[in-house]
Amino acid sequence: MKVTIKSWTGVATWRWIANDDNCGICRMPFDSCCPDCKLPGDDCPLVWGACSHCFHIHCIVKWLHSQPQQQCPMCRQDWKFNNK
Amino acid sequence: MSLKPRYVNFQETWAKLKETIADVVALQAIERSVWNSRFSDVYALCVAHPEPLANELYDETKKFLEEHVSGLLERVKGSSELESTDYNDGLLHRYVTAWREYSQGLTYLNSLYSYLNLQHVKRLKLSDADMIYGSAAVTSCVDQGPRHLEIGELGLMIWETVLIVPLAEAMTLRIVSALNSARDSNPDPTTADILRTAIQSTVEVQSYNVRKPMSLYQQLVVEPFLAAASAHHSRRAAELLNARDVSYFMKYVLDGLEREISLGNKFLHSSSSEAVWTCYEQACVAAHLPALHAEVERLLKEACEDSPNASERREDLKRMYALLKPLGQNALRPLIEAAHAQAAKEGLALLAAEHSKDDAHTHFVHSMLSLHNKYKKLFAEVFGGAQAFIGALDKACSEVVNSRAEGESTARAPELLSRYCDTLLRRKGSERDADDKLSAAIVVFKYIDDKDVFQKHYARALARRLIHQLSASMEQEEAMINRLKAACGYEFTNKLHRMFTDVAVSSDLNAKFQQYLRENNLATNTGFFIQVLQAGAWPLGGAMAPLAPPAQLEKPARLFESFYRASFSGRRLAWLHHLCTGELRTRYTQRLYHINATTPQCALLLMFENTDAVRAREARETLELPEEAWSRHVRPLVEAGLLIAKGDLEGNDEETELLLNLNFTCKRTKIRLTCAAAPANQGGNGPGGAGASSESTHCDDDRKMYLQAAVVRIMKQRKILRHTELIQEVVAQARGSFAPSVAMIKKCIEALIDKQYLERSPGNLDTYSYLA
Ligand SMILES: [Zn+2]
Ligand SMILES: [Zn+2]
Ligand SMILES: [Zn+2]
Repeated sequence: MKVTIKSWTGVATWRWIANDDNCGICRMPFDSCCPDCKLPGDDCPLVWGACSHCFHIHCIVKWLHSQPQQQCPMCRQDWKFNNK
Repeated sequence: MSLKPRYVNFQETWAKLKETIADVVALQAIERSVWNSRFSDVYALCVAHPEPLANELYDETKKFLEEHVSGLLERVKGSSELESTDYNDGLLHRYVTAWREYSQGLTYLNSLYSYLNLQHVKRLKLSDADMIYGSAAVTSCVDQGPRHLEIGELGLMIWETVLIVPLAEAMTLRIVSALNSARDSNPDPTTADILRTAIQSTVEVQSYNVRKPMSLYQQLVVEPFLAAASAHHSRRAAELLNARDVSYFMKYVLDGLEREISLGNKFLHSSSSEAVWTCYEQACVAAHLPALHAEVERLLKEACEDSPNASERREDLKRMYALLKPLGQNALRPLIEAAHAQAAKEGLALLAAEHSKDDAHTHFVHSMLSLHNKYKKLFAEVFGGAQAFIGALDKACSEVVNSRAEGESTARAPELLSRYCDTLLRRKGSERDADDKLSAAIVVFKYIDDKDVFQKHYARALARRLIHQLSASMEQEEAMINRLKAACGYEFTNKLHRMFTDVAVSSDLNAKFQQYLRENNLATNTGFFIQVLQAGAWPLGGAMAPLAPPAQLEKPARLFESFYRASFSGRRLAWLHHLCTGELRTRYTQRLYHINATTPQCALLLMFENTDAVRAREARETLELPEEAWSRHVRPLVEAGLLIAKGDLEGNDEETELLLNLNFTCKRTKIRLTCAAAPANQGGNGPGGAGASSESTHCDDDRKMYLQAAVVRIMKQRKILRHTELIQEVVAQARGSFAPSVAMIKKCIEALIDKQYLERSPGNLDTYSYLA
């Protein structure tokens, strides 16, 4: 062997896999946080519904609290958290 | 003796009384029994039956005192020439002797007349309330009928009208001339005492006069003295300025001021000290401001030079400040402006001084710090650290820091300061005094207008340090961010904090990954460490080049990907190959070398396993690198001497070959191959020009966003606002991170009008209203 690899330091970035660029509730891009937060990422995570729509968790929780029926604001199906 | 009112023969009683009071005011000895019976006589007259005789007694006493004082007047006059200014001609002396005798006698007389004072005079006096709140009576206080003063007060009034008035001019002439000569040489104690008592008497004689207690003193002493003093000082000052330079003049004037103040303290009433001072300042300083101001620039310049005269000039400036300060802002302004100009001039000269290009950041920060320290110390020494001069220094520093060299469109300060911090925070640059230096750098930071540009540079350098683990210490990194936060607030540093969080989360993640490997009986074969960063929080540039990693590296990468997918749902990883690095060990060389290289560089070296020559074009295609990235990665290998290029590397030449340098040698056994950052997304280490300009357009967009948000925020709250007020508020809000141009704010307002956030108020185009 002419050259051996002793170790490797990898650098990667992560982003959300969302079916849209923006949150359908607050209209902010998923790469940034909801209007109530200061930092995107773990502090302001995304959640997916059974209907496959996705929102900032803070946005959908706020929305569900303000509504008599627990429906997805995009497709009006009953909202269920999808813990895939 | 009976206290009952009874008939009293006035003439008889008054005759006895008059005899005694003549002795009293002349300070002759009086037997106790005589005193007691005269005391009773006063009582008897005041309560006499059928009519009290108090008024008669009062009037006769007044007549007596007037005659007595007339006699004293003649004694005081003596044979003196009244118009003389010779204060040693005996007149003042006789006046003071008579005054001491008379004023002392009056206090005895006043107590002899206690009953009259108490019963007949008090009733005529004004109540305090009348004095304070005013009434018709107040205006006629002094001339409210004939018997409103106690006998002692009456005696003082008579002294004033009968004796002082005729002598007023003569006394003034002597007092003023005595004060004038006391200025130059101290009078002997007796003369001094006479002078002081004479002046004091003009105050005391009016002590009963509640409305204008000092009017006689003012008129007789203060006004003539100040007029004479003013003429004297003006003449001296003018002579002096003609004959000597400003340094001498200021020294003399300050000494004179001290003398003048002590003259006033010694002889005049304490209420006059301010007037004495003002008179002096006006005559000696205010009247000669242009002459003083004309020297300000020269004095400052010389005080700042490295010359033997400098300390003398600093003394001059101290004096100048002492003289100008009491005259207020207008008198001080030229001094403040010159101080500002001097500091700014020296600052620009310091920056322009010759220095090596590689050291531009150190040169910049050290120049600014030495400027700041020097002038802070100087202004503290000569101007007592007065706020106006601190302000002038701040203004000068901010101008120098934000100055642009000719042909530059933006100031280089943000980039240079960030480079300076980067050097100190890196392991290699670690010095024992790095902490102090970083603290000091904040001084410069505060003067930077484009703090947002600084933040971008700083964030990128921090990202490099964190990713490549170049930081000298994490405590030092955090301390620096906390300093920036203290200076600029949380908003300014929250992205930087975010990077720290990612680094901490990553080390956690690595531990979990290793555990995952153990539990599943998996192995990476090579050492493996990974940093998973949140996209958007790191200034890393956008597009990632696709790369087929060498087989040795593909395995650990895939393992980690599957671990990550299982641990975090809804997240996608992207590799930043240009930031990934491998540790290699050479085995084909005589010595063993440790090489730190980027992933593409590792892959390239691994291609030589079974051969010593590789076609460049083939290698590039295998690595799937675009031309531009290819050249950035391969150049350092060639420059380090590990590979030898045969032919043109950049072109598409089919024949170009890369040869493994089998005779490679190097002094160091650890070799770190760098890779220049991509030019479009990252200025980084690239040449200043291109990087800087893409930086400024990048910042422009952020600024527009910031300004639009600020306008909306302000208008949402204020609803209707005039154009100029809106601009002011926006500028105030932005100040912490940059100094916006009015033109840019206007553009943002226009954009918001187009987007229908705002409209111009109908009929008043100068005013905006918010559209909900
Ligand atoms: Zn949202
Ligand atoms: Zn949130
Ligand atoms: Zn839905």
